[in-house]
Amino acid sequence: MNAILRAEGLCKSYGNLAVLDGVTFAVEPRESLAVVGPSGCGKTTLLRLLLDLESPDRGAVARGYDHVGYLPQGGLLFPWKTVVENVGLPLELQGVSARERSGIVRKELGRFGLAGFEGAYPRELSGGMAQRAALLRTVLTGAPVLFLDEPFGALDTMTRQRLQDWLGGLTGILDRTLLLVTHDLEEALVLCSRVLVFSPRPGAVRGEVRRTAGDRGAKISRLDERFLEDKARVLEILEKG
Amino acid sequence: MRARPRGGRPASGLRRGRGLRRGLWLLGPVSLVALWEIVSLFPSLPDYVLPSPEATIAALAKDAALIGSHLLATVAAALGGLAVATGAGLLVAAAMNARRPLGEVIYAQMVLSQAVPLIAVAPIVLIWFGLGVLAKLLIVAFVCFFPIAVSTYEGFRTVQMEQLDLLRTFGASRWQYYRHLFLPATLPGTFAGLKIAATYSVLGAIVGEWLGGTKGMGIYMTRALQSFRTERLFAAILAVMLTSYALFSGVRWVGNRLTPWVERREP
Repeated sequence: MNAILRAEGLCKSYGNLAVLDGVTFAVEPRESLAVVGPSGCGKTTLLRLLLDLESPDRGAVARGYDHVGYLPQGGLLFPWKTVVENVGLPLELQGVSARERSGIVRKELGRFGLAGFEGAYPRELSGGMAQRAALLRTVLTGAPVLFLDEPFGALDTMTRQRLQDWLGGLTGILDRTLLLVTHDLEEALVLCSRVLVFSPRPGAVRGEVRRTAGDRGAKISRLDERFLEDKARVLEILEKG
Repeated sequence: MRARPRGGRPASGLRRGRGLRRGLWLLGPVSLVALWEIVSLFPSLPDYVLPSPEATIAALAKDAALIGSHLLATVAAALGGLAVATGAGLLVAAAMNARRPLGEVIYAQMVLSQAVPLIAVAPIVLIWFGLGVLAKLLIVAFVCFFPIAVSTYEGFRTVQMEQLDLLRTFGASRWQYYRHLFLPATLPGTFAGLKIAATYSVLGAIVGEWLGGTKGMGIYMTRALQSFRTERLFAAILAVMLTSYALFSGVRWVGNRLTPWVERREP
């Protein structure tokens, strides 16, 4: 199958600090891929190169799509926009009329647990609700590939797990290619069918694990034996560095 | 439906707090007037040194039409100058943001310009532009420009690189960056500067009128002073204070309506 995204030998340095060292991988259409690694291993830099926000020093990115959906760390809702305005922003920038936009957004708000909060500003939302709104905004870009950077990193453990399970169930319905960057192994395995494991800085692919526990979109138990085995395999690669 | 802000105090507590703040706000002017009344009763103080509050109010009522016409000229110059300063301040701040290294140089120049006393600049402006409205307008613009430009530029500085990146991934055009990011990010700062500038604008117009001109509160005050009609001077001060406060409140009202996302405590 043709890859929708391919990274070939990506290298990136800032001054004398080498951040990425020859990163190569490919993502198939509708695949969900997680990149995990220790803090500072260049995960966010990799995402910026893939999103064309920065250029690599060496290597290339081949993209089989015209636009992307991006969920930055912390969600980054605009404080001056209400939930409806924030969530509908990608549609507005694409020139979708206010009426049509409102219809699309209001239909989706219920599925994302935000019904009744249409006119709320981000400061009036809980952390979990703000992240769901940011995620809905990413989904409404209509992009075939969604890039998520530590989507639930700033939340408490319980909320994070609840949202991971909720998004895990949603990935099957969304039917998009998903690229997730995280340092949370469980998040990677709950949300993605394949996990790339990065070495410490300068980041390079040290190995990969295909999830055996559950199909895409299926509810996954963190206590499932296969899930724990998958997690142990990821940990083993991480520990080898 | 609007969400209820999290962590809010009970409504009755909020009402009590607001009532207390309003009471404290009134305490200052009421105490001042009471003190003024007591001091003005001293027999050793003649009226031309300190007129009583009643004499001041009587002068205000008697000269209402005259003060009104002079005040109109002052307010027109203040609003005109404020408009010029706002336009110039926004443009300069946007230009400073677009060319950051140059912006920092201009910032330093603007700070230096504040060291120049208004009383020294105003006569030069009058020599260059005459005693008409234009000179007054430019003096007002000179005093109002700095708070507006600096506050707006500080607003530009609050924009995060990640917000720019996000809009870039959405495929935003240059205009859309301004419409969805720069403009709303700078609005609270611009209005903070505008509130200060609104009070400066009346002062600037009066300084311009003091140094020359035929109409305005500066002219009225100079004439009252020269004829030792101190009660008229006090009436003029009262009228100017109320006008400044009205301008400030007007700017605050517009600002509050245009930035509903800003959490604020109202008096």
